[in-house]
Amino acid sequence: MTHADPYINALINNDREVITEMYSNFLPRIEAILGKMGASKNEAWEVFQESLIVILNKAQSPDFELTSSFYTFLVSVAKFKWFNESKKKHKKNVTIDDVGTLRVEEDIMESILKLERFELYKKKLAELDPFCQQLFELFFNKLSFKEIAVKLDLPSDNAAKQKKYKCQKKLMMNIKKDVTYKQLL
Amino acid sequence: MNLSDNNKYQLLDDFMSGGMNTDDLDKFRAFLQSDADLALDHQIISELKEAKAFAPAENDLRSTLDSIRIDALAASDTTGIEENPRIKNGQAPQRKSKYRVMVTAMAMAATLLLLLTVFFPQNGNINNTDAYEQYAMIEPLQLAIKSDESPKMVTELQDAYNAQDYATALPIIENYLENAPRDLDVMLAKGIALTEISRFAEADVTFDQLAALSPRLKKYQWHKAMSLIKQDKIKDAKALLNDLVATKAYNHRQAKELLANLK
Repeated sequence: MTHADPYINALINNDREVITEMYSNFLPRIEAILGKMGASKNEAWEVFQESLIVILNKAQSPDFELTSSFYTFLVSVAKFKWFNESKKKHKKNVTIDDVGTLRVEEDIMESILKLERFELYKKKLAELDPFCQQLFELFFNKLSFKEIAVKLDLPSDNAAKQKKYKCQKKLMMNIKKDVTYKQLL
Repeated sequence: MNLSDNNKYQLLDDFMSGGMNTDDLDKFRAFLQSDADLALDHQIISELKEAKAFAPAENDLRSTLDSIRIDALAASDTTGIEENPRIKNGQAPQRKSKYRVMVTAMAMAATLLLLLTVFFPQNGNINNTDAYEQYAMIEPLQLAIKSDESPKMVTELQDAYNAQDYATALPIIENYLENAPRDLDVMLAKGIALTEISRFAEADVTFDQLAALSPRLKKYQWHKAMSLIKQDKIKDAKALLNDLVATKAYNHRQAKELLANLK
């Protein structure tokens, strides 16, 4: 996958050299901006890192289009990320100025929340019993129920299916009853 | 088609894999629109798949960013920021007070000077066992506990390692690394622990893995050189120490002194 913007390309291709350049050029500016919004340098680094992950995720979508410079986009994502983090960590809201249009704001916020839901799913998957974890791993690796049955020593593909639905029910229940989940929707 | 708790996940699978006929597809879409809980299940399953597919790219980028961060912190070592990338979940690298850093540095310099005066008064040569004992400079492990880690395991690991009980620390380290294979601090601790209990081949592999993960991080190189000295592989150790001196990297001054004193 290639993209017209060199920074987006660097994230997609995990190009260490260009990412190092982004670190040197953009992190100090992000630290300064978020510093004015109450973030420490370490918090700014954390936000910088998570913002790049959000951008990478967005960039993998086929309809992603960068309508500003990369840096402007990064700053917008970082501001929203910090807005979200400060609500969680410090239980206080920060004000965000000059971000962009409402559509862009909603879009960025949705991407940030989606990535946070991903983290919650991973956590909940890891909390399942080892059998369910293994079953999901095989399922996500696109093995058929027949292959899963063989790997997990189950009597039939139907047995594998039933086990998967049982594990899935448990996972869904654990996700939905997590107090943070509703805040991420 | 009827929808119940017993068949909804199967129907969701059929719907998402394109395994439904047109009639059932329309009916299921209607269910999705009228049943908020089912719609939520659908969203979670879709996003779970997306999250799994995104994970390799995400992990690669995190790895790169971590190692860039570590290198940047190592380069600004004199500012007193510890080389610790554990800043996830708000666990920021800890900052030493400048005073503490200064006192520690002065104490280390004084100790080193004393050792050099007492042990190398004439031609500066030192036997390899003594060189390892005197120069290994194993720093205590200071781990922050991440939200997804067992505090008990981290404490046990740290306590055993810092008490120099490497045989006890090693299995805990290996257990820890199964869940956090990119933790460079703990990987380095593993290499050092293996050297300490003389499992040199495994120590070398661990140091090489560290080099591959973060080629610009030179701290491992110092400890690999120490391990080689303990193994009497002085030529190889000297090559690593010379590189530290040439690049003015981690412990380069001590590396220069050690080079002058190695047999």
